[in-house]
Amino acid sequence: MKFEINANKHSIEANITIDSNELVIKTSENDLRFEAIQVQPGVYSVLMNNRSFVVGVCPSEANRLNVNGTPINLELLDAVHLHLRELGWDALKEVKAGLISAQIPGLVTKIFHAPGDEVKEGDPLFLIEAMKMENEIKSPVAGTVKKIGVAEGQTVEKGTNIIEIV
Amino acid sequence: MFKKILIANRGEIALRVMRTCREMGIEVVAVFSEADRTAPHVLFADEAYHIGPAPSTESYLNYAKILEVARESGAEAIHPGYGFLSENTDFASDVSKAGIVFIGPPASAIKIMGDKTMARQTMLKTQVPVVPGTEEPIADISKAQKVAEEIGFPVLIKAAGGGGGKGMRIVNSSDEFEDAVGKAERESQSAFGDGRVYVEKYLEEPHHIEFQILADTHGNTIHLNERECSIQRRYQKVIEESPSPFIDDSLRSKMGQAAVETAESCKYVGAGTVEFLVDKHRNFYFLEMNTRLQVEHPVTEMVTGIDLVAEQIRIAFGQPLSVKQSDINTTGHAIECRIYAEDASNDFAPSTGEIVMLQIPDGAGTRFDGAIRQGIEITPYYDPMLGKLICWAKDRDSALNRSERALREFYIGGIETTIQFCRSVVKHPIFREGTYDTHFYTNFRDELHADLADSTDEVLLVAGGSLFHHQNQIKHSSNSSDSTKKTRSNWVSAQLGRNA
Repeated sequence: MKFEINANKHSIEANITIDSNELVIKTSENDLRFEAIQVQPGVYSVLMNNRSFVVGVCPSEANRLNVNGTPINLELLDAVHLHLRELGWDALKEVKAGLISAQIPGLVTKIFHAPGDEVKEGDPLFLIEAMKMENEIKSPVAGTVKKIGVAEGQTVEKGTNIIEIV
Repeated sequence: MFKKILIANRGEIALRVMRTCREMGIEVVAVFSEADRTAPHVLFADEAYHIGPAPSTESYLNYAKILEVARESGAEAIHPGYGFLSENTDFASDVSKAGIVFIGPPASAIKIMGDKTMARQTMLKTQVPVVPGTEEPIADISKAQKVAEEIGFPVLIKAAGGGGGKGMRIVNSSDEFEDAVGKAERESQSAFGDGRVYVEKYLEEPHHIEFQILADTHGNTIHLNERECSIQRRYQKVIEESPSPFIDDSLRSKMGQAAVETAESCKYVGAGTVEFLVDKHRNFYFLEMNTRLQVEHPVTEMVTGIDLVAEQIRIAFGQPLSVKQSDINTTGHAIECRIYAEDASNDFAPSTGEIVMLQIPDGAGTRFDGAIRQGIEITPYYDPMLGKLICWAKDRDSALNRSERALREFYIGGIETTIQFCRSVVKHPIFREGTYDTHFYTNFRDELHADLADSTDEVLLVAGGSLFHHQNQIKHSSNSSDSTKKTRSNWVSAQLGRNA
């Protein structure tokens, strides 16, 4: 699978394939093969050309990994993310708590709630289809649905307010 | 010897004191707040008493309650650790009045050294040099200007009512003086509600070097050499070492003498620390005396082989010191790195949360004084220091290499820590050369916060690792939470077994 890897000032395009414990990472300059084994939850022993590394992935901070004691802030973008970014979607970062708007232009295919519903943080709110890909938008906050601005089947522009949660 | 001691503290220092007590065959009593029911010091102790809600003002500072627990448990002495009640004159005297031994200096010594002006006036009666300056806050600007001219520019104008660099001005010449005093007064007024300022000699490229002293009730006072504490940020120490790479044997002996004289001037008893500022010309000046065990005491223990807590307890019991000045021989070099739950890259903002993953370094010459374990919650109620990594080796270079090695082994997941920051410091060429002073952090700030991982291989490796981990999670999602829980509880019971 194709990825863009952003970490500590590096931005690298790579193709990563995983077959059981074997990983192959291909970039324009590198062709790395290594073997990874989980030694305790979230801790992996990695051997790359007989060089030994320990990689830690902490469950509470998925984007902050640790290799041989050195932390690396990692952003791993797959093809879907890369495509969405081209369309002006920049993750959920811009979503203001409470007022959820469309971050991409598209077709609202499903709305999971009606006004008055209680939602928890992380509950799916609606589906938006863009470039034949369906995206599930989750609630960034817990609260009560106050208002729904669109109907299922409606096409929206980027920035259209969809749901308000108070 | 005492049979039972109450430790009026929490965290790493409570555990540190308890370890020595147990080695001496003394039973230990812990006190704990609501937030600390399962804290390491509670698990370690022979007895543990709940003393109040999480905020320290209602628990670890509630000394009436602590005294009550001491009586109830039958503890014969109280060790206050550092912080909390350790330098509280009222507590020290109330403990003694209750017929319990306070493991620390007499209340009178705490009182003298706890007050900046009183300490300075006491020191002026001795041969110990103090930083030249006005003895009282500035009342008359022209008189103050005369003092400044006598001292010689540059001078420092400092707030009388507070620290932290606020209300502070460096004045380079006589014609800037009046203006600078006005500015410093206004700044102090708004920061501390107290506009009083005083003048002090400005020391160039100063070092912060402190001497450990021990004094018993039989009239013996000795010093155990120095600790170099110039690696600080925001006036807080981060890394300490002994010996100092800056001073030689002749200066060491002079400063040691001065430290002993300082302790004698306030009739000190117990373990204490005399702090000095040393300028680039190697002139030294008394700064203050800390009337308690210091956070960084282990570096002294590592090079002298003396257990300072054991000495404190023996002194408090009325025994003479176990060593004479001529017995003090240091061996090798020790470096302490303080591990804080702080985000170094975000101006050292405190970081709270659960320690999800933990690997503590091990191996020769590697000591970790901490109070953490996997699964523990770091709360916002107390000091953010998680522990101290102290590395000892036969010489400074080896101790640096050992510190770097141990810091690389150190992994705390779930919260931000200063592990990486310490690693950047011990790798820094100026630190390695030993030519640093208290401006080190300000001078090299950007370099110290730069990312350590630069190789493309490492980045690709973690990307692969992350993806691999993600797949692994999905594969085992049905039973992963169970297995995590199982691992954790096994680990905790192993720890309990070790402590029992």
